[in-house]
Amino acid sequence: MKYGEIDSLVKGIDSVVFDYTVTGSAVSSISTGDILNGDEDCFYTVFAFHVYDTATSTLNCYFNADNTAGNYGYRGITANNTTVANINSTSALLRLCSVASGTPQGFSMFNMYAKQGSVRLLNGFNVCDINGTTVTQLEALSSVWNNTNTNITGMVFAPSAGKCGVGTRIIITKGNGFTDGIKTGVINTSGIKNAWIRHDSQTLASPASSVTFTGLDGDNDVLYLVKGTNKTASATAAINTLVINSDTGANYGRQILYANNTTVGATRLTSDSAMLFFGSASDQNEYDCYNILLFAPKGFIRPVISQCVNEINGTTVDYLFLAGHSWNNTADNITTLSIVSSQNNGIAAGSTFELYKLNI
Amino acid sequence: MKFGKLQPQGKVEFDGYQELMNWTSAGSESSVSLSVDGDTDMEYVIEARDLTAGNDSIRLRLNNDSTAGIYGRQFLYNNAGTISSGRDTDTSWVITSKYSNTYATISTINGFIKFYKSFIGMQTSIPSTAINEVVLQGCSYNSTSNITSLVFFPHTGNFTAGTNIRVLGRRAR
Repeated sequence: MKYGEIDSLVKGIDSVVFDYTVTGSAVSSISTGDILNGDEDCFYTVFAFHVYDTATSTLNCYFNADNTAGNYGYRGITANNTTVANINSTSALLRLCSVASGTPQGFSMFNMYAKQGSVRLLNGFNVCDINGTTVTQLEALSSVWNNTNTNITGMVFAPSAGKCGVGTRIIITKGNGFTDGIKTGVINTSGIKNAWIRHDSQTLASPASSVTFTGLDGDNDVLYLVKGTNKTASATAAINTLVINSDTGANYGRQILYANNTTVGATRLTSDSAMLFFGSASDQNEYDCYNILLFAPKGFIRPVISQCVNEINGTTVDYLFLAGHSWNNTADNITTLSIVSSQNNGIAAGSTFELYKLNI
Repeated sequence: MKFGKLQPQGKVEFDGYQELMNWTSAGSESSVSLSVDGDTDMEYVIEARDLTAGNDSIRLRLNNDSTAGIYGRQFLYNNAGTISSGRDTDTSWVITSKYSNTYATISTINGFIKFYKSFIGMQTSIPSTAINEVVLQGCSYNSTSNITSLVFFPHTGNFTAGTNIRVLGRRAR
């Protein structure tokens, strides 16, 4: 059956269950209230944009009313300039991004299986302490709520000190595992409200120098997912970058964590002319594959989390990159995103790029 | 158009991700398979919760291909505070490890070799507030053939009861 855009929960399709922005004045915490049902929802993904108020803080999260630090723990890898380090605790609330006076924004995402029956594990990334084009720290973190037998009914987000500043935003999607919906046959629809939908897909028929997604409205779309699978066409090794709104000024920065065989490293770059989500040029016929998550609304810098595998030839994956980025433009609505090769016609035929947006 | 909760019995034809499989083990299965069309779907998301006590517990083969060395990997891990990395090849991809949670994506573009990126967090014992290890992986499957099945299997024995594997994909119109 064909429908126009559906504004309902659809089993098996993740949808936004909570979307809150701090407006007017700072708040001491953000609570979903008892709107969740972890046993039914099955999976949650949380996106958190944290804005500094008056105190250096780390944004924490806890479930239901359990704000006992001893019931939570985490371990991860941090990258801060060129330093890679372990971070862990066996008694600390869930750790999201940090902010401070001189580095007033941060961005986090995590994903979790929510059903009781065993402890709840979460995996996520934190992009911490962003100021302009300086991204201070990147974290890849796995966390645990050591509770096996309580259904998750709510989440609370609270800074370790002070308040969540105006502009702080929390978005949660859920998995929709209910079994009491209206049964239907095949559904054909132009879109589903509050779900990720594909805005555009481009597969190159011949080599190209760039690919551009247009018709965007970042202020209302809020979150973008760019997915690229790229093969290098040029005889000279090529590297891809992301350009926002055709901005090639010195307005991009990043903190990278990478692995290249047995070498683990980190780098930070500020004031770059494009968003580079991996640091190595691929030779002709080598592949790159990446996912890029961008928080789009203006008013603040635009943070990005990217995961990439790079310089792939057969079974040899040369590089694994994880990066946190910043686009230091707070004024302009995002209307275009471009993947640009460093070489003329550097992107091979068959390379495919897709853009998804959260249809809030 | 607003409705109450909808529970389609068939596929949902729209340009977005939907659940293709949400499977929980009863503890007696040696594998679980999902039929797919990789050229059309182009990408899959895998979310897995493994309650097994063994390492490298759940594996994945594309098209049930167990050719030696056809799967390549670059990994980065933090094991109890020691951070290290390396490369290897294998007869399958590692999806989960001991008492772990995984979020992963697979790219299956037509005519290209296939790629897998994942983040695994694992514990040595449960219940506990200690996370023992985190692993980031970037992997390849050195074949350009269309992917028609995803075959998940335990590294040894059967799945552990309560282990959950969810696959999301885009079903083209």
